[in-house]
Amino acid sequence: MAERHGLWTTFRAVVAALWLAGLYMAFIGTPDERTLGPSDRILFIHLGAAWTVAIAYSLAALLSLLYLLRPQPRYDRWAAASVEVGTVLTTAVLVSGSIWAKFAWGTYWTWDPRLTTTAVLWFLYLGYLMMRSSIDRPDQRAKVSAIWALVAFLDVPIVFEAVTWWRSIHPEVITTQGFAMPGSMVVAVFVFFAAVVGLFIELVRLRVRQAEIESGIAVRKAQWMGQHT
Amino acid sequence: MVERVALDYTFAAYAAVFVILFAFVLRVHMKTRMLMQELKALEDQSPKARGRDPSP
Repeated sequence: MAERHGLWTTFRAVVAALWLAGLYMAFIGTPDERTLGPSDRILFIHLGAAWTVAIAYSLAALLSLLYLLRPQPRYDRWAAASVEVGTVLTTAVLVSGSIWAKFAWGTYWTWDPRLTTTAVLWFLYLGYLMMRSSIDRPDQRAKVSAIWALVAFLDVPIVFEAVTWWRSIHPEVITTQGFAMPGSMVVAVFVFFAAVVGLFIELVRLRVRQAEIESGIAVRKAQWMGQHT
Repeated sequence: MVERVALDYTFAAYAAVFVILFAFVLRVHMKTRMLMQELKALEDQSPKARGRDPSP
């Protein structure tokens, strides 16, 4: 138990170091972009969060599928936590993207395919979280959530392919020739990506632990009520 | 001048993301505290804690 605790402390320290390294690289260790100047540094945190969102929703879809095949509460707990943290990161992606858009395009929002499909994604998973809080029976909630997560996941590949399927003004970072940026910027992108993934893992783990405690409290309360009625 | 404005937008974007993440971390932390209090209250109410043996 103490060994596991020590391992998580090390993990947290590594994640904190990655965030510091990412910030250093984003603001000091990378050159300015030729046309947009320092504003392109927003891309580091924007991309890191966007890629982690894809991981979060993919994980939720996989766990939801597992739940439907073999209904076990732990699959539901991990899927719900993954969606919750994923939705927070989607909010970060939309906000950071909008601020960059205001500088680059002169507007916070435009109905570009990438932006629109991301907004749809955000609403789909926000709906998932609202639906979960409206169903009391755990088994029913888990089943509906699993189906919802699988349906909502259909939008994830659409978001990523939106720039190639439709006419879009959203910049493409990865082209057929590789990364459309200098090597130092690519390193910064991956450092930030690792930092956001680390934070995602830690937050999901905490939310799952909370859900387990909540479930334990509910069982104890039910037992207590049974003894006193 | 343009560079200064670009830097302002960059700081604003990072600040916004940090506020969002910090708000969520704070919410998770407060929920943990609330759960710990609830768990402690339940333990205090349990027959063992009150020195009673619930077995018949």
